[in-house]
Amino acid sequence: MLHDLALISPQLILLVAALFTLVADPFLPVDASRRFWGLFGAGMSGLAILACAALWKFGPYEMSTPAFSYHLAASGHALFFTALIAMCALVTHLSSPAYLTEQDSHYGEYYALLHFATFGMAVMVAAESLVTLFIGLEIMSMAIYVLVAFKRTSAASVEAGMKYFIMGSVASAFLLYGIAFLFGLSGGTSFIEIQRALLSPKPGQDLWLGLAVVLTGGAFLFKVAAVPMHMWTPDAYEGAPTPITGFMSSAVKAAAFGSFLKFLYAGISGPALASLHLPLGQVLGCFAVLTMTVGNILALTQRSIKRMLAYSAIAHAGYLLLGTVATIDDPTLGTPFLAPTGAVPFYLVGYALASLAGFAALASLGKDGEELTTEGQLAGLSKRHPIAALALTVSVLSLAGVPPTLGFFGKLQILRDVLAVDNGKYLPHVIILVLNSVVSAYYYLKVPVAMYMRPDSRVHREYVREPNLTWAMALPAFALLALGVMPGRAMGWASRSEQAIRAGSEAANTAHSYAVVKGGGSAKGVVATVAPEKPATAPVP
Amino acid sequence: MDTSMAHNWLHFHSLSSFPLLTLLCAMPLGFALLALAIPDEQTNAHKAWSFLGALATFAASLVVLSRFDRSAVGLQQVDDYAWIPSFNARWTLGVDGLSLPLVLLTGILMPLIFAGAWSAIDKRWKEFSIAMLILETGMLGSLLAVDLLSFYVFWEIMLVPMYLIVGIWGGKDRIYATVKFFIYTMFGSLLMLVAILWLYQKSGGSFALAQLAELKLSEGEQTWLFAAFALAFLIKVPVFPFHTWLPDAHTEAPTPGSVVLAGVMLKLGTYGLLRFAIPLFPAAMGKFSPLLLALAVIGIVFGALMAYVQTDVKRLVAYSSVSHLGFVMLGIVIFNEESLQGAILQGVNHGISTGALFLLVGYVYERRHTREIAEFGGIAAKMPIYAAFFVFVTMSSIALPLTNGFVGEFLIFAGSFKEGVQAVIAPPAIAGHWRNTVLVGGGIASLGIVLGAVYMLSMVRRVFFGQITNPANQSLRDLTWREKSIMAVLAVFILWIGVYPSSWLNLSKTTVQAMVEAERPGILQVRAPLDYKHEASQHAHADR
Repeated sequence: MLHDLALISPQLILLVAALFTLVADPFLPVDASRRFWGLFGAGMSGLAILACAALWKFGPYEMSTPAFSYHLAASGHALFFTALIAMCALVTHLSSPAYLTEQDSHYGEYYALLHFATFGMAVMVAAESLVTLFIGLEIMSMAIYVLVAFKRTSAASVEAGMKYFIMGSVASAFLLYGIAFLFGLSGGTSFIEIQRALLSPKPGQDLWLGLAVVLTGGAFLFKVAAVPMHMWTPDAYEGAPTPITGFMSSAVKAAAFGSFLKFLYAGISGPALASLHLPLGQVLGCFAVLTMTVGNILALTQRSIKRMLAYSAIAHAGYLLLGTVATIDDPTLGTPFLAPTGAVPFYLVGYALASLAGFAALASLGKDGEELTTEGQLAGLSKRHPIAALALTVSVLSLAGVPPTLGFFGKLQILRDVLAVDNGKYLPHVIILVLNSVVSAYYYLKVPVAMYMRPDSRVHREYVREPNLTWAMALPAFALLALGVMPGRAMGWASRSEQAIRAGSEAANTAHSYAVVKGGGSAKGVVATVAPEKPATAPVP
Repeated sequence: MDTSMAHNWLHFHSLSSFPLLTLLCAMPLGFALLALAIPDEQTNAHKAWSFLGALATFAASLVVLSRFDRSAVGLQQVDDYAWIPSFNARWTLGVDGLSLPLVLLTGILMPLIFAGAWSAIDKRWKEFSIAMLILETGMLGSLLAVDLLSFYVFWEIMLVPMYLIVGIWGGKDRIYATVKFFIYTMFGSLLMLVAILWLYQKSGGSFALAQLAELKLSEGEQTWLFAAFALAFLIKVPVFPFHTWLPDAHTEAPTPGSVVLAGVMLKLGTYGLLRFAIPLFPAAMGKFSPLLLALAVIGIVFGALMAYVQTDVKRLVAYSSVSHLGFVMLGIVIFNEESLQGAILQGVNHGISTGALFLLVGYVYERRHTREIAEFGGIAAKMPIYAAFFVFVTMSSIALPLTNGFVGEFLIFAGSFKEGVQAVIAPPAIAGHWRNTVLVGGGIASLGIVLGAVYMLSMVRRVFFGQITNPANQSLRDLTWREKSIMAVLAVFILWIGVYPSSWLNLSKTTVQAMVEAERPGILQVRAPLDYKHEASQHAHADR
C-alpha cells in the first residue's frame, strides 16, 4: 500500500495542493490570497515535477509499475506526461494572479480548480484502466468547465464555459458508452484485461468492437479538438481567461494525446482490431489531414489573436494526429507498431511551451478588464512591452516550425516518422502537412508584423507588468530556443515515454504467455506474433 | 548505369583538431548575444560593436583561408560532432573550393555593410545589429554545413532575421514585401525538407551528404527529389519564373538588407544547387538541363529588359540581379570546368558589384529620399567622386575587361561555347540536340551582355550627366570619408579580380576539377548520351 502511494506521489501532491487551497483560502485576507496562491501553486506543481523526476530516475520506468491493482501506474509514459502537465500548471499559476486581479476575477477557488484539473490529467495519463481514465477525465473536465467560465461578469466567458460543458458532456457520454462495450467484450476495464481479451477474437464480436472503437475514438477526437469535433474550441479558447486558454492548449492537449496514445497502444490494439478490417491508421490519417487543413484555413481570417491561436490549436491537433498515425501505423498490415521514437510526446513539449509563452504574453496585454488581443491592438508592442513581444514572437515562430525553435524539431520528427511508415505510404499526408505549414506561416507572421513593423497606435494602452507574469512568458520562450539548439535530451525522454507504453503492453502479453516476445523489448512485430492460430488478414490498400 | 564514380570531392580530406569553422560560424552569434547587454539607446556602441563583430568574423575567415590547402580534393578543416543522437544528425562543417570564395565574400561584405548602415539605419540599432549578426551566422553555417539537417537549420535561420530587416527598416510596402519573401522561401524549403527526410529514410538514417550521394535511387525518385531541392534553390537564386519576390524585397529592404540579400543570400541558391542538388541527383540534373538552361537564358534576357523599363534605380539594380544570376545559372547548367569556375567567380563578382551598386543607390537615397531616375540628372557636377565610383562599378556590372565582371562572364561563355561548339565541329554522330541547345542558348545569353550595357549606361546617363534640371539636386553633398572608404575597398576588389583573377580562381580550381570528374559523367549520360560515350572513349585514350 505504501509502495503504491509512493508510485502515485506526483498525483497525491497535486491533490493535496488542491484540497489545501480550497480549505485555507477562506482564512486568507484578499491581498494575501492574491500574493500567495500563485506562488504556492507554482511551488506545488514544481514539487510534483520533482517527484516525477525522482520516480523516473530511481523507479523502473521501462516497465509499467502498476499500483492499486492495475488502476494507476508510474510508468515512464505516465511520469513524462505528468511532469509535462505539471510544468504547464506551474507556468499557469505564475501567470494567473496578475491577470485575474486586472480582470477583477481573483478568487482563491481558481487555484484549487487549477490543481484539481492538473490532478485529473495526471490521473488520466497514469491510468491503467478505462475507469480510472474516465474518472481522471471527468475531474479534469469539470474543473476546466468552471475555469473557462471563471470571468463570471463576462458574457463571453460564461457562454464559452456553457458551450464547452454541454459538448464536453456529450463526449464524455460517448466515451462511457464505448467503455461499456469494451467491458462487455472483455469482462474487465483495465487495459491489460482488454488487451488479453482482444488477443483471441471471438466470433460475433465485430459489431460491438467496432462500436466501441468509434465511440471511444470519437470522444478522444473531441478532447483533442479534431475536425469535425472542433466546434467548441474557438469559443472556449476565446472566452476563457487567457492563462486558462494557455493551460487548455498546452496541458489539456497533452493529457488528451497522452491518454489517447496509451489507449491506442495498450487498449484497443491487437488482432481483434485486425479482424475488423478497420484501417485505423488511414482513418486517423484522414482526420489528421482534415483537421490541420480546416484549422489553418479558418485561422487565416481571424482578427483576434486569441481566436487565431485557437484555430491554430486545431491545426496542431491535426499534426499530432498524423504523428499518432506513425506511432500506431496500420494494425491490419501485420506490423502494428513502429519503433517508439516519441514523436508525439516530443511535439507536445514544444507545442505546450509555445502555447504557454504565447498566452502568458497575451495575458499581460490590457488592464482593468480589457483584453487587447486583436491584431490592431498589438501594433507597436515591441516598443512598449519588449519582453512580451519577444516571447510572443518566439512562440509563433515555434508554432510555425521555424528552426532553431523546438517546434521545428517536433515537426521534423513527426514528418520523419510518418514518412517511415511503409516506405512512404503517407507521403501525400506529409506533403499536405508541409503545405499547411506554409499557410500557417502567413497568419503566424501577422503577429510579429503587428508588434514590430506596424507603427505605434496613438491610443494609449496599458500593460500588466508583474514579475511572475513576465517569468511565465520568458521561461517557456527561452526553453523553446534552448531546447531547439540542443533537442537531443528532450527527444530521449519522449522516446522513453513511448517505450514505456510498449514495454507495459508487452509485459502484459508475456505474463500470460499469449505472446512470444523475443529479446524482451524488440522493436516491432510483438502483437503480430501473438495470435499464430489466425492468419494475417489481407492488407487494405 | 555507371555511377561508380565516387564523390571524392564530398569526402573529408582533413579533420580539424581545433573547431575553427564552428568558431567562425558562431562568432557573429556570440557578438549578437553580447550585444543584448548593451542598452538600447547607446546607438554608437551598437554601431561599433557590430562592426567589430563583423571584422572579427572576417579575421576568422582569413585564418580559414591561411590554413586552406588549394591542391587538396575534398572537404577541409572539418568539424564533425554528434548533434542529435536519436536522429543520427551530426554537426558537420567543412570548407572547400566551392564554399571558400563565398565565405570570404561574406567576411568582406559584412563589415562594409555595417559601416554603410551607420547612416542608412536610423532607428533600433540594437535589434538591427543583432538581426544582421544572426543572419551572418546563418549564411556562414549554410555555406559550411555538409550534414543536410544542420544545413537546413542554418538555411532557415537566415529567414527570420531577413524578414525582420525588411519588415522593420524597409520602405513603404515593406510588410507586403517581407511576408511575400518569407512565404515564398519557406514554401520552397519545406518541400526540400520532405525530400531530405525521404533521403534520410532511404539511406537508413543518415543526413551525411557524402553518404547520401552514394544512394542508388530510381529515375522517378531522382526526378521528384531533384525537383524539390531545385525548387528551394531556384526560388532563392531566383531563377525566372520564381523571381517575383526579389524586386519587391530588394526595393523595400533598407540598403544593408539589399546588400546582404544580393551580396550573399542569392548565391546560396546557386551554391545549394552545386553542393547538394547536383551531386545527389546527377541524372535528374541531366534530365532537367535543357529546362534549366532555358530558364537561365530567359532570366538573363527578361531581367535585362525589365531592368531597362524601371524608373526606380533600386528596382533596376534588383532586376539586373535576376539577369546576372541567370549567367551564374548558365555556368552551372553547362557544368564543365570553365563554366563552373566562371559561375563561382561570377557569384563573388555579383556580390561585390551589385553590393556596391546598392550601397551607392543608398547613398543618394539618404540625401534625396527618392530613387526615381526622373528626379535626378546631371548630378555628376555636384557629386564628382560619387559619379566616378558609380561609373566604375557600372563598368564592372556590364563586364568591361579588366574588371571582375568580365572574367566571370568570359569564363561562363568560354565554357558554354566549348560545350556548344561541338555541334559544329564534332563528327555529326555526337552532335545532338543538347549541343545545339547550348549553342543557341549561349548566343541569346550573350545578347544579355549587350542589354546589360544598354540599361546600365542609359540609367547612368540620365542620372549623372547633362544639366541639373531639378533644383533639389543643387545642394547635394559628395561622399563622406566613410562612404568613400567603403567604396574604395570594393573598388580594389573589382580591380583585383579583374586584373589578377587567378588568385581567386586557384581557390576553387581543384574542387571544380574534382567536381566535374565526379558529377559530369552522370549528368552527361542523361542529357547527351552520345557525347558521354565520346568523352568516355577520349578519357580511355588519354589514360592509355
